[in-house]
Amino acid sequence: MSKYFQKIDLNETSSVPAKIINLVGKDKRVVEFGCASGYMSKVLKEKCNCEVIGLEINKEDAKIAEAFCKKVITGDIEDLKWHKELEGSNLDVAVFADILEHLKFPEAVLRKTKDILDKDGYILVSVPNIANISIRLELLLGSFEYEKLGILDNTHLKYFTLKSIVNLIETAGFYVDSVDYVVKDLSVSIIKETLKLLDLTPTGKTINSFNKIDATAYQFIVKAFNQKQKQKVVEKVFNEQIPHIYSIDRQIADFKHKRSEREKHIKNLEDDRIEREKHIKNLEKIRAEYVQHVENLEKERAERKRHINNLEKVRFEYAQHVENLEHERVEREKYIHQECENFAVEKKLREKIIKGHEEEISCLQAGLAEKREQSELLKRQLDGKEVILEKLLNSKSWKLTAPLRWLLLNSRKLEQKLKAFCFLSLQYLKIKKSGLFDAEYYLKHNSDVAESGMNPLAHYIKFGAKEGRLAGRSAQSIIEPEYAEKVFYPERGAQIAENDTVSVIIPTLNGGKDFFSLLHSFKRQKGIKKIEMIVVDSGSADNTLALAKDFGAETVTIPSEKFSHSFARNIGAERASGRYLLFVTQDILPSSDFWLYEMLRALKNSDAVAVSCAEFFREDVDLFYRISSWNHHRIMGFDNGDRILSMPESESYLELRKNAQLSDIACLVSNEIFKKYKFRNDYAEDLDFGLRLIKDGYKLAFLNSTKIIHSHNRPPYYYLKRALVDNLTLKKIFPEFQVPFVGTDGFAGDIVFTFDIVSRLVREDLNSLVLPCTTETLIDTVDKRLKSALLSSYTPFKRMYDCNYIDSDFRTFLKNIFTGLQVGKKGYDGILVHAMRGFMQIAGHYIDNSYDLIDEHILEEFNACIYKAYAYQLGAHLAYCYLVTPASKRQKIEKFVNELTIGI
Amino acid sequence: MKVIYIIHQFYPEYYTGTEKFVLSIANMMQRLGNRVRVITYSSYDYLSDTDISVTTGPDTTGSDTTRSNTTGSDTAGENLFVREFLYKGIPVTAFNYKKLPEDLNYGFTSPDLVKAAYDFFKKEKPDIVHVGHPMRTGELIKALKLQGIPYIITLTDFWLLCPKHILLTASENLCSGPEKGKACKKFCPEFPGGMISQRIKSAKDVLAGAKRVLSPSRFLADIFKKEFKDINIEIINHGISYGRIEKNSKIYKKDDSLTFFYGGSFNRFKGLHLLIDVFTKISSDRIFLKIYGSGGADKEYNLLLKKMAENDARVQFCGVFSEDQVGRILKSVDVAVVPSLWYENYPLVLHEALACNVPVITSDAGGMAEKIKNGVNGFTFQVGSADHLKKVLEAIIDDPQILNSLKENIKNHMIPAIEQEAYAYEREYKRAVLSCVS
Repeated sequence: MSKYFQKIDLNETSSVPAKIINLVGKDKRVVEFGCASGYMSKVLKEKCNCEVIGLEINKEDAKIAEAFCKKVITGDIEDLKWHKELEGSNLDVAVFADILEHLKFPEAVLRKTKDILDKDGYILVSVPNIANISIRLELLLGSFEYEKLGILDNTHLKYFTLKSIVNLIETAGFYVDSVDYVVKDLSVSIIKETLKLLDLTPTGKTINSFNKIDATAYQFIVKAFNQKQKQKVVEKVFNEQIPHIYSIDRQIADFKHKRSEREKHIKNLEDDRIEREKHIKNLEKIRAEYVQHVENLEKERAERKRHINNLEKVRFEYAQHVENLEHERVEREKYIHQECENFAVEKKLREKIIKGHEEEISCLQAGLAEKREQSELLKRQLDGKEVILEKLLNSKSWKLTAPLRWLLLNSRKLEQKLKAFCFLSLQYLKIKKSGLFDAEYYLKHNSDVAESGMNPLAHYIKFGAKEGRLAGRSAQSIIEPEYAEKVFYPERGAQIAENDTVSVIIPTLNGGKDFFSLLHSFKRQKGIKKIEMIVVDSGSADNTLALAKDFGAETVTIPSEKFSHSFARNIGAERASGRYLLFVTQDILPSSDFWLYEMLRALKNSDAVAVSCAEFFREDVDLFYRISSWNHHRIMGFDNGDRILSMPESESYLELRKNAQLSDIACLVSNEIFKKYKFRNDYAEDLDFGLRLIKDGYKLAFLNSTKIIHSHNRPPYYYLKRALVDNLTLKKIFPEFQVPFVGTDGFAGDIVFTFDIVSRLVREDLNSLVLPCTTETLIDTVDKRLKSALLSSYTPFKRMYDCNYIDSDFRTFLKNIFTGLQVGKKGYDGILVHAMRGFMQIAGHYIDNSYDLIDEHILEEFNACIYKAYAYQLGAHLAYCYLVTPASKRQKIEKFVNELTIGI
Repeated sequence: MKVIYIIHQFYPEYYTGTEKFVLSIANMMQRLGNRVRVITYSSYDYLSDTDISVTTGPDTTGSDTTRSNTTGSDTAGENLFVREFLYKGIPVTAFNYKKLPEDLNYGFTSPDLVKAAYDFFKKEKPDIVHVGHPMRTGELIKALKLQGIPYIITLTDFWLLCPKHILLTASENLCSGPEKGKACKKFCPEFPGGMISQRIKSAKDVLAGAKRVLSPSRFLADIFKKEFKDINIEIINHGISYGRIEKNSKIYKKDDSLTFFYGGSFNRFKGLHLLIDVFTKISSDRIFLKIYGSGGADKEYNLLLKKMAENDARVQFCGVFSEDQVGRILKSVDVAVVPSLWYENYPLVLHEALACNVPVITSDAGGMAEKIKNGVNGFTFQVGSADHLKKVLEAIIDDPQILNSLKENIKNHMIPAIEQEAYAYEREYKRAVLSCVS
């Protein structure tokens, strides 16, 4: 085996043979100088498909190599035998793998190699690097030892560095294409250690220089082309590229020119731009100034506008004012003119009256003369009588019977005094025994008693109790906690008088929810020294009595069958100890904390003995009640101001009725007076009372300046009964009351007919009104229907429609009238439709006063009102019928009347 | 008498306290035979409601008018609409603007309204005018002065002093009055100082020009008197309709179950969120909370409330209630709660509860503290304090028997009836009219 045998791995990057073989490539014609045993040729042939001609000096090696080479020429390379053989072979590659260092004249060999190569052929040369760092260091240490293999192979003749091998090859006429190398270097530490031996410390530069290829390479592998070839190639390329180069040069020149032009242009544009920017800045400044100016003008404009608006307002106000003054002036002129006229009229009237008076005076004077004569006559008669009397008084019998007479006259007085004394002493003993009288308290609080020195209990019994003085601490405190609801603002100057005690008498039957508020409001009444509540109950099933007791009221229970309006009130009055009595019904509510005080003040400040007042309606008052009440007050003359009522000159029903007005809804009367009269009758006991008072010369008062809260919202049946009883009683109390004639024949028919008309009015006419409508439209619609009814005929009764304006009691009542009724066909001749028309006129008047337009809400109330009005008229006319019918013919109607009069 | 009522908003759009008051009084006056009319600002959103009838203007005959949903309206001026309609028998004149003025809710003048106001009063010729609320209607009041028509004014909130109505500062604390604008500058700097001082001056004019200034509560009167020392304010308490009242006469034993009640609109300053918050934190299975009322404009707040209560089955939202149901509802609950965060003036629900004999828990502020004394007819808690309210609720829940003595005390005092209030007002009208003539 050749000593140069190596196993070759083509992938081994640090293997020179591998590198060389890779550089050869494939399918090449190769000459391998110094092929040894052909280990490289084998690979070239087998793996690279190359044709190899080998040259080897060693015969044995050459023989082995023959297996892999095309031919092997043995001999010394430097003999140049091969040259003759291979000249003009145009081989592709010549390989000198570690050969040149073995030759004496490597340059010559290389020159000759040119001749055997193709014009595009190349040589591959590998040589060891003598300047390897290890050799350098050895040499520094003075060592240069040949070895069997390696750089200092003992067969090496020539030594190369990178420079020198490249130089050699170039001198030989080749062009070096690439230089590859295999590294074998030393670590820095070894370098440093080695140099240390010579006392040398290497610098960084030193180390760097030892890291260069020329020091680290172990072997160099050089690829070089036939130089001429290189020249030819270069020339070819050069020739091909020249035109390109020229054109590129031209282009470059062009571009340079253009570029300089553009740069100039850009510079100009830049200058331009700067100019314009300056210009824009200036314009901006100007624009800002203008904007500011515009703003200022705007502000000014707004100011002026505001100013104008203000002036306008002022002007407008002045115009209004002027108009007002004008208007006023006109009014005043009218007024003055009117007043002058009035004065003239009045003057005439007064002149007339004066004349009348003058005539009266002359009559009276005539009468006076007559009377004088008469009185002269009487005087003479009187004188005569006197003489007789004188004689009698001086007679003996008279003088004798004097004591008897005294006894007779004074016996009654003595009796009374005795009775009173016994009564008082009994009282005294009783009270003293009971211990309820607190003498100390009484004396403390009643200084006049203490001063007089009278026995306090005697004083109390005789005077104090009646005056309402307190016997002890049992009285309820009137101090209210500060958080109590202030019901109203207080009237100023409420002065409590010592003897202002009032007993409030309330007949009750199931007072209901509102009774609580009533009791409470009375508790709060101010300005009265003492208020005592007396409740006269006739069988309440709810908590009326319990509530009354809670509020400290005295309660009296009477059996329900004994109840009448006068009886209950009289019973209550008997228990009353107040100086004044206030009769109220259970459904009232005092309108303010000072209501009672105002009533009492009116009573005291006038010379009336009893006072009642107008009503202030509740929230749920029904329309019928409002209209009736309004009309009633209007007729009575009670719609304005306070009235003092007394016996009228003319005793007509209307005058008496007006002046006897007292209402048990709220009636305040002095206890003393009441005791003399008391209530009587089952019904309208207040009117009767009023009438008796004025007939005896007393005065009554009716107030509008203060009112009591009261109203009704009742179903038609109630108004039916009410009207009946009202009118029956009126006749009893006021015999002069003119009862309209209502005949029994045909009355039932009238009732049915009118009911039918009323139902049609509500169901058809009013239901089809387009709402909202004016009050006029409403009234006209009603009037139209009623007017046309007057011209219609009676028709047989069909059926009574259900409607929710009629309560079940009323329905039952009507049904009883309606059943079994026969009506013939004749024109209407009844009275109820007229009565309805009459009422509707009043209603129209009222509605016109209060409303402009009618909506569903108001119409609903109006519908209910119509039925109530019908029920009321029915009741009233039932009463008239009853009153004018002789007793013998009354049976039928009596039945209804009796049924209706229960419970009122 | 012809009486005209001036108010800032009215039925059927709005039905809070002031509107209820004006409706009740107007109704009562009409029943007494007076002619009445209400003039108000309105935004006309209600027109699809078929309850009311709409007329098209001053000269109506039966054939020209139609039932609701008419779109005809008079334009009395460039920017002003005027409509007339009837609400439950009460004639109403409502005005609205095409373009709403910026200061609609806090200003006193309105140039668009000047002529219409003058014409209105010239045509109507009222004997007396009653101002229910001066917001949005300043121009009408001025027209009254010009024509020499007497007016009285009822104060129902603090609008004349405070553009926010309720005297709450920007940080939701109670404010005691403008102090000529100093307080406003300090607490509510979002209002320009000039506007505030102008407002106060205008308010003074309105009050000084009235024949009488009235207030339903002493508390409100005092706050106004503090600011306007020369103005006399008389008290007339609001009355309630006793027809709707039903007495709640339950007697409580220990361990009885309790239902708490809230009635009113859902607005932040009414404090409902405080109540729900505290209630949900109390764990007891024998207590319930019934909430009546509906949301205001603040939808977020509504959602918040619903959310707060969503996991607690004891809390029930029962919807709106009509006036007729008041008695029945109050009869079925045990304690009413009014947790308002502002100086509530005269909470109707508080008085209705007392009239029905139901004890009330309220904040200790404003008109509420005037009416409810702790331990006597109800309980009070520190305004806005959740802890304090919780303590109060727990005390009641622990021993419901304490309610019995409260109810006894409540029985001894009467809330005025609506008729009594109307009577007092009628007298005021007569007095005002007479003082004009003399």
